[in-house]
Amino acid sequence: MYVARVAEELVALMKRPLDPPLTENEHPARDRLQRAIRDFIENGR
Amino acid sequence: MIDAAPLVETHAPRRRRVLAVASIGGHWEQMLLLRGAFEGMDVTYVTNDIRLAQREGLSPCYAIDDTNRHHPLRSLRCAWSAMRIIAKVRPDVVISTGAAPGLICMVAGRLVGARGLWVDSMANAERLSGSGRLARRLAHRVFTQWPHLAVEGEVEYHGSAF
Repeated sequence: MYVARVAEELVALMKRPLDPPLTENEHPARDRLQRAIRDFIENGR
Repeated sequence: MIDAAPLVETHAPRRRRVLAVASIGGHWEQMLLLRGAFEGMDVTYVTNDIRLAQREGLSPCYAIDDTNRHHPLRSLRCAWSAMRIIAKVRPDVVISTGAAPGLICMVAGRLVGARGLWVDSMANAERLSGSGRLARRLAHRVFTQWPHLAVEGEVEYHGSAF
């Protein structure tokens, strides 16, 4: 029972498509930080 | 027929004046990575060696002595430079990624009503830097670049430069 569930999850994991790779210009964490900085400068928030 | 002047004069909103202060090394590198946040603003850079800014084509840039808490005399010289820079630039906001000179500029900025934003360096992964801990009292906002260092109402995490 347990082995069957693990096998099922492994199969599901293998079938899951990969997240698209980030390009050189993509950096979500930096974008968020820049937005927060800009918001502080423009709105004082 | 009378030529009437428009009743309402239209003024373009004044561009925000930002003083971006970062010491040589990782502090400066992080400021460079975050400079996209200043797009469309009047930015003046302050660092320990203006050749760093010249290399990136960033202007205007002022030089300031590097210092830390172990060098009181150098800190005084740094404070004097900071006050002169602040008096000249009259920034709306002082933002720093560290280190001590950034904090000194922030304090000088507060004297003329500038708001201060401290972005603690990513190098400080275990606790805020010494300057960052002081900035909690002196800056209007303090950002950390590590989620586990965020403290409700005191230190915010929004993301990281790297």
